[in-house]
Amino acid sequence: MLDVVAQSVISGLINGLIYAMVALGLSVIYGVMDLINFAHGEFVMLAMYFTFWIVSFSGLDQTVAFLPALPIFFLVGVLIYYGMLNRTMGTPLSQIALMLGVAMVIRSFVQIAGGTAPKGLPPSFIFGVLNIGSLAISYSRVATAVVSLVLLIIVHLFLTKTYTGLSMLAASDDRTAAYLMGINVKRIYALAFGLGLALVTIPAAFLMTYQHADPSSYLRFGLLSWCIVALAGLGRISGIIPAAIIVGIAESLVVTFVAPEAHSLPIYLLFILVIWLKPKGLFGRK
Amino acid sequence: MVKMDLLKVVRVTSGYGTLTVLNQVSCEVADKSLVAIVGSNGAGKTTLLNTISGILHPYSGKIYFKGKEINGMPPHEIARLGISHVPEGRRIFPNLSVLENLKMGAYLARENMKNGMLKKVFEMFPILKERKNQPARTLSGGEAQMLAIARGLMRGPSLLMLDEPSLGLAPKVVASVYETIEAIKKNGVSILLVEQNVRYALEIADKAYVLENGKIVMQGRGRDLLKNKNIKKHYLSLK
Amino acid sequence: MKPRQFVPAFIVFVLIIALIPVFVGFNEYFILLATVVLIYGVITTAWNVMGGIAGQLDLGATAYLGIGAYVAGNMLIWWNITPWIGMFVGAIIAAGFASAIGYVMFRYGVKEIWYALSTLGLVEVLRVIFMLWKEVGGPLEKYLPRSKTDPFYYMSFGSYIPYFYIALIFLLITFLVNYRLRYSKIGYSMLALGSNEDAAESLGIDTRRTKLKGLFIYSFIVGAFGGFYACFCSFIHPNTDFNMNFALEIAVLGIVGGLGTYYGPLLAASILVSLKEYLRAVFGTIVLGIYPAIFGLAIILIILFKPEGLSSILKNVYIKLRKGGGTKHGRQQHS
Ligand SMILES: Nc1ncnc2c1ncn2[C@@H]1O[C@H](COP(=O)(O)OP(=O)(O)O)[C@@H](O)[C@H]1O
Ligand SMILES: [Mg+2]
Repeated sequence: MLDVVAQSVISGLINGLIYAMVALGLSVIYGVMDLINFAHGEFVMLAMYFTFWIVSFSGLDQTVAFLPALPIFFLVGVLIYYGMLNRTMGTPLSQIALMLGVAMVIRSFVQIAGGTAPKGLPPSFIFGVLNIGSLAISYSRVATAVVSLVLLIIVHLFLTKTYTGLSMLAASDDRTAAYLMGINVKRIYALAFGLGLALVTIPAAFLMTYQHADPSSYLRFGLLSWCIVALAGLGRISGIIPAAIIVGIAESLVVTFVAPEAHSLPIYLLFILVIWLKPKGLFGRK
Repeated sequence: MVKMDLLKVVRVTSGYGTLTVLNQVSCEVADKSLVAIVGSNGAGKTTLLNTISGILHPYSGKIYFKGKEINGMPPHEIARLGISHVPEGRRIFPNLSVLENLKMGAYLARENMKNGMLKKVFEMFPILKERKNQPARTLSGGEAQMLAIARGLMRGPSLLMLDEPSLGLAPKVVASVYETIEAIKKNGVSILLVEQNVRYALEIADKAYVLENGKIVMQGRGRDLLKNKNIKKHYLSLK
Repeated sequence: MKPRQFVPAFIVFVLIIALIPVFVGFNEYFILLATVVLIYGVITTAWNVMGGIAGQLDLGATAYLGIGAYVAGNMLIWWNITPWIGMFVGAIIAAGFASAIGYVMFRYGVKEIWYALSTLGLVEVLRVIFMLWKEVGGPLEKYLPRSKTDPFYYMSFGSYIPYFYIALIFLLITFLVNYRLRYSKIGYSMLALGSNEDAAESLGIDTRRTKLKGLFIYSFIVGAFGGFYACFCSFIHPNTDFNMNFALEIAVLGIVGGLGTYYGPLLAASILVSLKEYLRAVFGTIVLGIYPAIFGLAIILIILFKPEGLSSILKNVYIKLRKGGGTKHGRQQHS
């Protein structure tokens, strides 16, 4: 029994670390711009399809397949900001509707270009299984979790140690004061949105080392990310990790002890409870 | 010798949407001088500073800085020209550390974090050095005001605009803030100071304007205004 | 539109819609389309109470729709109780559920984006729960009993025409509720709440109560309509009834239609859902899934170029008509 619990927890921990990376882009956008990117899940899905296409077309390994996708996503983010969000600043409802429009376009695109069948790739150069007692975890998941941690640290350092990163945090604290410092807040927002989208390409590529992509993947990754961001609260990146681990472990325990179909239930319940009882998040500032 | 006007505001009308607050306001700040704008609450002092720094755009009128027309420019470009606006209520970045706040102050002059500027600022505000790694939200009111001023100095501006630096501070703290302001002026920075705390402001001002209901109603040398009957009656004796 | 002009406009409007089956020559396919538009119209117009007038971004329409559908559906399946009663019971349960949830949420000050996300999360939670709850739901479609001899009792008709008219009656009621509300005292509280919550509070408006009232009315109508929706689909299934995308579409239609008006959401639903169904009909079999893209693009374009919503177009036309034709050149200016 204890063994089963321990295994479930370890598996959930690994998943949680991976989820942290999936939610990272959403967290950056929300943290800096106070804008909920309703199309986040769709962008994760789109990036998974990109990975699939890049790998199938060029034969690159999944683990580096994000390299061509990353600048494209960044550019798309910047364009969406200047073309749409900048023109609707101060009207959050319109921004939400806009991002829902974008989400619909992406869903359509994925279906038209990729069909409805799930897309999976052959194993990357990381393969094999790590055995801990009777628990078997694939090396790709372990590698993804490690990459996640590294990426979170890099983004954290970017936000706290560079002028551009700090000015993102400053703009999120006080937009007007940031302007008075000579910060071009609009440019910073465009960068943040671009960064938020670019950041989905890396988790997407690594997810494709052990998962399929299908036209409904957006649902899972979208709500999952929102849940983590809600739990983490508006804050620096460090809040994401405990939040994501809680989500991962809760999900894993439910799958083990209740029913695999119920895997999303603890996530949403946790999400709803947290925003009711602690709207600023469990690990947020302020 | 006639000093060149660093800042020249010419018949500016400004406000918020349909609400006109400033009505044909004109004023000047000569180079290396300290100019005070005093007036009661709601007179439009903050609106004037916001219009100069580009947070608001004037409906009509012109604003010149170093001879260049700046009205209508966005705030980050006006900042680039050398105006540093320390806004009302300090508006420091609460979740950034003290040092990070100063770093943002030096956003346009990053070399100032490395050359003597940071040291100079820390000498002027030793308390900030002590607290440099603390989140700015943990500072007391006086310390936060010091940080806001220090942040405004970090990029080495030619004009520092201070909006009610004494707001909400204990009298002893106000005195030390004003000592600092005088020290900044001695360092060759021009200052446009907006205050409700009329006595202090007029005491140190080379030139002062009185703003009432969005209009300049009186101007003169600070010490002269201090002796003015109307000023005494409306702003000083009622304590 | 001022209240005075409302009555004649409303009567004309009702007559035109009621005659749609005649216009399309009783073509079943077009009547089905019109019914789908009406379904969106009813839910979006009900949503408008909370989302438009009271300004709370609610993304949980299908939580209440689903509850209504499952209550009425299961009452019919288990006890053979007619959906006409089931609808009413569903409405009460949906509204009770919504009020309980709303009470907690508003009590803890959940608002803005967090209200939006938690209502959306609610839909998904319910979907999963009903998926797992085998007695009333489960992963298989549950078909409602039908009867050739008594279609009225089972609300199961061989033609779409009765569905069309039932939906139309729902629409009229919802529309009237919206209209009455818009010009009532509670409606003004809601409008004040919607435009600025803090300001509304300082005016002495009990914002918590106002939100609860809005939520109650909205979830009651949508809950009742859920019973109809189940009969219209002729089955209940968690993915159909507790559908997040459906809930999102409703909110988007409301926003696109123009918030705070009582006819904007219906207008958006008529235009965009017709467009969507048309695209589905034209492209559906050729290129699977193109219609969400066009739907999405339409939303983006409307938000960017008609940010006041579609209802402003109608207002323009109306003003033009009032001014006697208007000119061919240039737009009418109005404030
Ligand atoms: N953001 C704003 N929106 C609308 N009106 C404002 C705003 N800020 C200030 N006002 C109004 O403008 C007038 C002048 O305000 P302000 O410039 O802040 O005065 P002061 O700084 O002299 O106290 C006041 O009547 C105030 O109500
Ligand atoms: Mg002021």
